[in-house]
Amino acid sequence: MEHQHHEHSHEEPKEPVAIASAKQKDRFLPASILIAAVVIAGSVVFAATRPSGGGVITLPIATTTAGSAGTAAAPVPPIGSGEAILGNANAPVTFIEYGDYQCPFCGRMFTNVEPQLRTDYINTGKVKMVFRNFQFLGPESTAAGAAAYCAADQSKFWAYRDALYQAKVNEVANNGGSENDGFFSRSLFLKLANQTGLDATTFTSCIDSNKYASKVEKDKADASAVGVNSTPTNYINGQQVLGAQPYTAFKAVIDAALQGK
Amino acid sequence: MLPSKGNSKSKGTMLFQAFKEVFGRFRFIALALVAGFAAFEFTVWFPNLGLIVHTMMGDASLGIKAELLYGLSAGISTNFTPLSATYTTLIAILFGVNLTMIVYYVMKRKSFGRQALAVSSGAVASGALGIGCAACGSLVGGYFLAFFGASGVATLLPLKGEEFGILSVLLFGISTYVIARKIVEPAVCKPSY
Repeated sequence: MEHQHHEHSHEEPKEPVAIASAKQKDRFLPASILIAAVVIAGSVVFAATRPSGGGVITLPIATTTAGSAGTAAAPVPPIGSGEAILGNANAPVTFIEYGDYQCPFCGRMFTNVEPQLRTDYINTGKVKMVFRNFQFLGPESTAAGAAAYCAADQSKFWAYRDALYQAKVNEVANNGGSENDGFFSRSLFLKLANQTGLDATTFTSCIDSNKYASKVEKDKADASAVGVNSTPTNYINGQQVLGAQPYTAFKAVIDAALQGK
Repeated sequence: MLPSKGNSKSKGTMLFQAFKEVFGRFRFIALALVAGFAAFEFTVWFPNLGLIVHTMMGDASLGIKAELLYGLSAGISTNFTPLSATYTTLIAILFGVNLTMIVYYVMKRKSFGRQALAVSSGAVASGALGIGCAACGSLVGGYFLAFFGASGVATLLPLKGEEFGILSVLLFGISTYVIARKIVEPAVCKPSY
């Protein structure tokens, strides 16, 4: 009797297509969950542990530069001798706003927060406020920032700054204005100068000579170095408060700062 | 005997049946509310997480801490555009609904809905990229795009990154539909061919 030896083939049997497809889906699932978890967890850890004085690495609304990931930001500079202070210079709490005159959320903060902030804290000597330029929304923002510096030459910075914000807020509310729509123009700057009691000749000469355009750009660079890349970005005794939050939020941060004094 | 494929139903009826099955019990309503609320608060608090951590760990009174959390929660009305406030709220609601339906399905079938979980994960990731505030941009997106040196990418988009929030709402909607379909499916064995 002959024995037939059947040698088994060493070739592996091919998987059915359905099983191979299911295995691909199995690999996709944990990968997709892992990616989602890393995205969220990484951002939460980063956002919660960034230094209180700055170091924000956020996606800007419309700026051309942003801090590099992982670079440490400079601390928020203290008030300089050339900066116009609103309120008592010896007030225990310092409120610094980095703003853009065209930013609608800065406008919201100006109308919804500042009136009560001034009544409750600035006028009572508890808070002193400083405004710093982060004019990043375009040439009209830069021009407005420079015009405000021209007003500062005549010791009317805060009145002029308020007039700029109010004018833009009114334009948006009444005419649906937007950024770089031609609203912040030379004629408007002169009109606001007249409104705030500035010497017209001196002011006109200042804005026509572009005296402060480079300073406004330097302000933006300095703000970026601190970690600012959106507006409004506020610092209350060095503690960052981002965005146009309700007055209640600012009140809590100020009260916490006062409690610590 | 061949396995049953189940009866075909209109999508609306199927969704209603799934919701009725899941949210007919109080504990799942509670889970959806808690999860949705947590997602909402996380979103509005996210831009100021550093502030919250610093204040909560500091010496401020309990009243001040509570006032801060409440104040930042109310930021949905001051610090968001109408579009971003809308999709932020929708994402929170859909997240709560989605999570609850997944939990229900897992408890019911003792297995994972792979397709639904994959879509849900995509929705969560997209929502994470889209959240933030209109004033401060997408923080999550900024972190990861900055890591890859592509921070300016979102500024090229028409809605400056808010597209991710809209995408998240869509993905959550799809995920909800997929999970609902799984929930109302009869428990049968299906061949893999």
